Amino acid sequence: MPDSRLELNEDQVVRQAIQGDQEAFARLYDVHADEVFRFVKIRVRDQHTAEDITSSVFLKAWENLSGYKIRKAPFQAWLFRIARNAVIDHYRTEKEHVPLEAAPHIVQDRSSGVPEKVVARIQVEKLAASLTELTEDQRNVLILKLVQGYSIKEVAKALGKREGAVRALQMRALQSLSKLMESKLE
Amino acid sequence: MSELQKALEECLVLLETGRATIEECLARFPEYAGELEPLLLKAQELKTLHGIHISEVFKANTRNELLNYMGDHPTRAKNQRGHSGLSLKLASGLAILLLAFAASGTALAQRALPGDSLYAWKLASENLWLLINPDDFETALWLSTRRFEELLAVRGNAVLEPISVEAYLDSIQRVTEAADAESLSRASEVIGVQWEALQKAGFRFEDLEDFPGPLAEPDMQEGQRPDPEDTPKAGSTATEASKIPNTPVVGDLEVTVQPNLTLESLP
Repeated sequence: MPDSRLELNEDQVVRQAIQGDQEAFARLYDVHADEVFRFVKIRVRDQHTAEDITSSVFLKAWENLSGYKIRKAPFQAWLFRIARNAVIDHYRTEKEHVPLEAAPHIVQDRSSGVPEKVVARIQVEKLAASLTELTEDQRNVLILKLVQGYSIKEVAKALGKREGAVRALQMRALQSLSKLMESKLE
Repeated sequence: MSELQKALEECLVLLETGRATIEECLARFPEYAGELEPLLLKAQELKTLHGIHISEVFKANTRNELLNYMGDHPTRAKNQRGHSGLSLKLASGLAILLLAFAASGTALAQRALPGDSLYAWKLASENLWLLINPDDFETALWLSTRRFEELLAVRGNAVLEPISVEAYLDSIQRVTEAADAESLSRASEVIGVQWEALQKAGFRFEDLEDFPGPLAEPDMQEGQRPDPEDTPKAGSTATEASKIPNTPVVGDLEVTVQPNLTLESLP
């Protein structure tokens, strides 16, 4: 988790935002925009779509802030739920089929050689494409736990699941992902 | 949690904290090395997706748009400042009406099914009960019965059934977690009856693919493992023959199901 969140005393900022403090909400956006975008981008692949959905997540969060309860779930968990629902709504309305050729926007390590960068990018594309073939729960768990780096407890709260269910989903997701990518190599 | 799952969890923590390499993890759990290795490799690969970042230009532009939007659409909390007297009287009157409505509405809501307008109310009343009831196990068992009844009621509904399957699985997970040594046998009995009824209703249990613990594959042979192509996606219902063994295990409980179960063999 980003250190800036700890420095932010997030609960206090969230309370201010709930009271209508727009600058407080903007600070929350500054902290969480990157992780929300990453969560969405892995799932929709297209850059502009991911940006649009990310914007909509924060607009919806602002509109529904009065309904957020600090003690019920961490603010990031609440944002991820909004993001998850926004992605679901997007697929329902757009019926988007993301082609394998769609390249995710990736900031690579600048010290990598060009050929390594290309190989790494292809591998990331395959990985992201394979993720879309998992069940939604499996995909969410892998993204939150292993990409975003959240704990089992945090993932469970974000997805409204029991911690045991999240652990099982994690294992099944990794098993499925491994088989999916093996089959693509054949 | 199965032993493989425990090993996976421990290895992921070790890798995450840099306290071990994949090879060291495999050496730590040699009996699971074959199964663990591909999972740990995939977990490491997934970290590369952390390199996806929002464009700074987009982030800055969106921040400005967000501030403009917030200026045009302030929150309700800010809007209601300065109307305390009238608002208090209105709020009191509304509260009385709402309480009366809630009492009758809650009673009606108890029979609501997923998709019904009162279903959210039903869930809200259950959450309240969860908060105030000290007996976690009995509450979990009561909830699993509710989810089981809902699942039977929405069988065949392509939209509601998968949602209900997931809710039911979560509920029996809660039962196994809340059960202690004394209540295990009761949990086993109750859930066993539910499972028999679900099988009779035609559930084939690929739906239980994501169920925690050894439920789906405690002693499965390699050839019996479901293929990724068979993995049901959100919104789908499984229709193929079950690949689970005849003695499904619910967490640490063993539920006995008659082998070769057919409609004719059911009481």
